[in-house]
Amino acid sequence: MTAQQKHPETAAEDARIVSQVLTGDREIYGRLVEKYQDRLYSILFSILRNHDLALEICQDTFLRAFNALHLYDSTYKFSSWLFRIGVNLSFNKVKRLKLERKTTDRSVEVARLGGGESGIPPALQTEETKKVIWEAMEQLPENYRTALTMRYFEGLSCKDIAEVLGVTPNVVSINIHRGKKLMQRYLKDYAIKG
Amino acid sequence: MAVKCREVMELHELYLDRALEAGARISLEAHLSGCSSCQKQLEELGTLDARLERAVAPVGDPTFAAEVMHRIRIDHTPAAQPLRRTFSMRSLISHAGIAAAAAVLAIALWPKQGDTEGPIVRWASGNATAAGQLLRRDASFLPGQTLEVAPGGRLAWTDARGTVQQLAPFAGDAARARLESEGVTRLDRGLLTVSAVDPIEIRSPLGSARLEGGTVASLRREDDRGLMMDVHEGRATLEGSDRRLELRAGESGRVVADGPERVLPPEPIDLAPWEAKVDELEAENRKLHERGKGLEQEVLSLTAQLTEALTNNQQLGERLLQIESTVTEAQVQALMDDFETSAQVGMLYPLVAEAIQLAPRFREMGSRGIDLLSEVISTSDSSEQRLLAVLILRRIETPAVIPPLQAALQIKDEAGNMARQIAAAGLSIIDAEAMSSVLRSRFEAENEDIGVRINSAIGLARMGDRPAIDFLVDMYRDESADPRDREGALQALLVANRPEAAPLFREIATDEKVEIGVRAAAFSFLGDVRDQQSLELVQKVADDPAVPAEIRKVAQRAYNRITGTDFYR
Repeated sequence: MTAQQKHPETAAEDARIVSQVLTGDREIYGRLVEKYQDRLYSILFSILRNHDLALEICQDTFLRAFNALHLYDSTYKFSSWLFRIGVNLSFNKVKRLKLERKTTDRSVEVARLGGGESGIPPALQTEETKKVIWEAMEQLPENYRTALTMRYFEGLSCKDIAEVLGVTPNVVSINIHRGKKLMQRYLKDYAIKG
Repeated sequence: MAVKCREVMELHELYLDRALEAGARISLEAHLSGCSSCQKQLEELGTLDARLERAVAPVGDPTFAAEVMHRIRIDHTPAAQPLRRTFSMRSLISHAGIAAAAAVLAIALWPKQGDTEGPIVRWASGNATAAGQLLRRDASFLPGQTLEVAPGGRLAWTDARGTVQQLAPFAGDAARARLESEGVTRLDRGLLTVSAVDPIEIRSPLGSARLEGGTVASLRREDDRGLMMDVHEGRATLEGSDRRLELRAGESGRVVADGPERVLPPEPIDLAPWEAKVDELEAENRKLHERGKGLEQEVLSLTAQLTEALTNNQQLGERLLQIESTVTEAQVQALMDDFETSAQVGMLYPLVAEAIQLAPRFREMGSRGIDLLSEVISTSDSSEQRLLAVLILRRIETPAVIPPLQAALQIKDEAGNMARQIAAAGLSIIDAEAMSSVLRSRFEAENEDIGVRINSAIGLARMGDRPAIDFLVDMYRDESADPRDREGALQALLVANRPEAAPLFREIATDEKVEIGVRAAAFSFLGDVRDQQSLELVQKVADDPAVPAEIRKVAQRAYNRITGTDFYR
């Protein structure tokens, strides 16, 4: 099964919803929100590793996407475009928080960024099997983690991920593979320890 | 793992996407079918894929989508508007615990236009309320309700007749106003901008304003600091506790507790003189630019002239050197001529020729050559050999020949005064201060041979010695003297090339009794002197057709030399 086969009707359905929104049916946008909220949240959480921040950026992403919907180019997948907005917002947020951490003493609020917290989304903290996956992912370098979450939580192709992250598809393929290899090793260690 | 295997694994995701080119795909498939290691790896990683896909984390907030939609409804503003989290709203909905709460609230705030009475909100941003209820675009409110706009927000509405009023906070405080009735607005605090279709009245505790139909004005009310109005278009009246102001477009007024005060618009600036000044400056600038270009041309031309002058000067120097050597040769020639008639001529002529040939070789030998010649002078028995040695030394022309030539000044033998004359001439052309005393002793010796004295005078005259110059001039002027001595003196003066002799040469130059060659030599001399009188004379003669062509030509060359030009070609 390839990544693109996972959501066969996605692209056409999304395009239809977008055009309906643009012609005045704002309410139907809610379908896109419901459809992508968990995957977008998962990606954002994997970057931010903080539930409140991920939720805030997730909401901002949907609002910004709505307000800029007339700029969306329907030759690309709506989800790629949406995730790109979300990933950019997250990266900006991380940068700003890191800067704040450097310049102020309010370290408590941002200490969770970059590993202070467990890195497990609250909703999964009681689900042992998924929690293990997130724990393993938590240990990956950021570029591997982001590529992996986009690949598996959204089912994006290497090309789509490359578009969101601004790298080449080859780099994405390599990062996914290396990320998976590392994940495999962490999970083995966990099984032995467990 | 071989490099090939790693490449295959790293490109495998692209292969799954069917994003590999045919060549790469076939090569990868071929490798996979034959590589058990890669197959095993893919199998292992495959189980990971499934686990990863199932690990999507839910937002964990059942109201998330409803809240997003609510935000979209109330924040339906252009993308440039900053988005703020409405924490209070969110927690309210969260506490209510049901998504429906958001939907109910949203519908309540989203009335359809036309269903309601009262002014319609055309723009609402930030926290703008009517009787405490949040206002958004397309909503309406009722007269009598108090409007409030928090800092950072803005509220604009139209009434049934189309008059637009906009309320915004001013000076950091929330704005507050109330529509008393149709056409009457009470402004408690903030900035109210009115674009009136019909006449409208704005009231405040400190005074009131009446705007005529078609007037655009803004009013500011800050606590007890008064009511201020700027009229942008149309006419309005501002009335305070004791006075009223009629204001027209462009005028501002303020009503304060103590009474009104009129703020007149600033005097319009008359730009005409400034524009004229700018034109003038621009014209001047253009002129300067043109002049700059002219100056540049001038500088270029001057540079060219200077270069030419330097070249000419160099040529002149070369020519002078040439003339000097010619004159020196001429002197030798004269000497030879002198002796042609003498008994010794048979001896001197071949010796001069031989000396001219041998001199460069002795010059090359340096001090060794000069020592050799000195030895000949002091030890040789042959007057012929001694004379040859002196002739050679005279042509070496370095200070090193001074001692042997000095010795030669003592020679007295069959060759008569020849060796001494030549030695004196040789010493005379060497530039050395030390020479003057040696030459002076010969020149001043009354009993010395006149030829030796003349030749000694050359050197002294060259150094500007006035008695020597006068002696030579007098010698030439003395018509009773031996013509050969007179000519020798003239030659000496030519060689000395002193400006003091200029009057004499000007005489000679114009003296028709003097033979042409001598007059020509005089003009050549004057060309080197370059004083005003000589220039005038040279110029006159150069253009005088009555003057013989040979002389005129020399005069023309002299003129060119003096003026540094090529006037005559």
